[in-house]
Amino acid sequence: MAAGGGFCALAGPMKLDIRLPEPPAVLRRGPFRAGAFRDTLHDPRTAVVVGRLLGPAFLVCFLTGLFSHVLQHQPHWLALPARPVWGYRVTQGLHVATGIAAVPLLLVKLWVVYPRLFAWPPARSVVHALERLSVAVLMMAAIFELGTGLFNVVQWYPWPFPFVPAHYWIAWVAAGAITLHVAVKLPLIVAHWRRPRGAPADLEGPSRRGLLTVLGAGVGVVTLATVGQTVTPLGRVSVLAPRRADLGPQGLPVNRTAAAAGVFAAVRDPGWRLEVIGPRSFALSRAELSAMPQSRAVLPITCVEGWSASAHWSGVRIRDLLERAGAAPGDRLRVFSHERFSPYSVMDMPGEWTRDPLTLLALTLNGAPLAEDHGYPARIIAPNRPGVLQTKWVARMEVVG
Amino acid sequence: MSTAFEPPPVAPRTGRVVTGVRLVLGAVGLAGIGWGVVGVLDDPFLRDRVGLAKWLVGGLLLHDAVFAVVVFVVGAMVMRARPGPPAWVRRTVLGGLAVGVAGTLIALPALLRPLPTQNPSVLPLDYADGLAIVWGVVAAGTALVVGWRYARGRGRG
Repeated sequence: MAAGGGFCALAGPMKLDIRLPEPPAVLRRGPFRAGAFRDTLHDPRTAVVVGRLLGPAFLVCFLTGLFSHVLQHQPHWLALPARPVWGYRVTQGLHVATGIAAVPLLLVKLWVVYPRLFAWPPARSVVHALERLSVAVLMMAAIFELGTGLFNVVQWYPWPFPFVPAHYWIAWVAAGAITLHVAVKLPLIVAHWRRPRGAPADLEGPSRRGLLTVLGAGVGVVTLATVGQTVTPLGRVSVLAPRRADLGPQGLPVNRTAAAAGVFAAVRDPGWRLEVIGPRSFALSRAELSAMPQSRAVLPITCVEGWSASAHWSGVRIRDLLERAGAAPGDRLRVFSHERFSPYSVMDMPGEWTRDPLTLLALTLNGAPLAEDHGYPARIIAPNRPGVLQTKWVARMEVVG
Repeated sequence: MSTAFEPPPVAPRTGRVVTGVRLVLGAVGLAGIGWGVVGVLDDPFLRDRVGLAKWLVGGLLLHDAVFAVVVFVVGAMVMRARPGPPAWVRRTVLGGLAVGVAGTLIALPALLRPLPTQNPSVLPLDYADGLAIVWGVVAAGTALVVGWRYARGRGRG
């Protein structure tokens, strides 16, 4: 296969490269032999055809992941909209579904280029060696992102590092390595973007069309088998989905149970009061909250793990509580949960959400008082926000201006 | 064995525009990798960087030294075993096998995760049953494709 697409083509004329000696031919055995891989589909054209599906898939994962990260670590200077209510449901559902679809895409791409692993000589020059090393970086990062993502959706963390920062930073490495890979291979990509002139659409022997059919079937199967965790009408089709929108307490899944959060003592205390700290601080019991004007909202819980489910909520509007505390409309709010030792036990809510009529301190779910696992006595529910920011077991709220 | 169509070799494109775009993309790509590496080294929560490196390298080895080897050995064995059905049937079966393996990989975390999860709404389904259904659908689809091609006389090879 022509390997002339490397940076060597750039560095060579510039005399920046150092040639490496060719290893003795006696070492060229096994898969390193010429013609060790017979299949005609290990060619640049097939790599381009599969790569231009895989590249956009990783781009979608990267952008939706970055969006999710910004939502969860929103800088003060950045205003994000509270509409549409299903916005995060779509972006995060897309993030996980695209990542799952990328598994067969990546495996087929690697199958196509696997013989290149045994290219001879292994490195012609220093730049060629660096180029190959960058492919190793790309593979490590890509496999890591898809692998850790797949574990995360079943909430299983069998590794010695926290998932969120590892998945986040390695995503930058993956995105950078893919961009670098496109730069390295661009001459080949451009040359093979279109079907070669005179080539019949359906080749004899193993056909590219056949490979793409298998790839399409693979993407279709893994997608249908899991996407029902967020596209709820497909719930019963998705036999491998880690969640189902209607399975859980009160017909809604839970991400963190009351037992796991260790909140039983606090939320079962008959003396429980919601404290609101502001210009006119006050504290209310659950009965007093229930006696305030109640609002209803149909809003989804959308988890970073890719499941989402809509539910009927009712409770007190956050903006009514803010007004009662003497805060100005659109003031920021800091919400404290009874949950301890969690990165989400304190949540900041920007003004776009505190002034929104759909943002509630919810007291009921689907017509019944909140189950403890859903945040009894009171929880936050807001439109277009990640589930981890829909704080449960609310203890205190502070107006932070 | 039929001869595969050999397209004329296509020369890589190395015009001025391509070179310019390559330099920009190359710089952006290196910057992205650098930003990620600095992030890993700087993040106060990522203390076990050796553990992280092991998982990164482990994934690469798992693919290149285990998964790919099994795939190529199984592929060669299925295509070369004599006697047996024509090559196009074998290729279709290998395609079905690949789809089933993709489904299996997706299901592995659900199947292997230690239970119970302390949270009944995580993994509420029977995933062994689910995987059996996936394999059943894939097998049925493969059989349909083989039958359809056979009936249309499109069997090749």
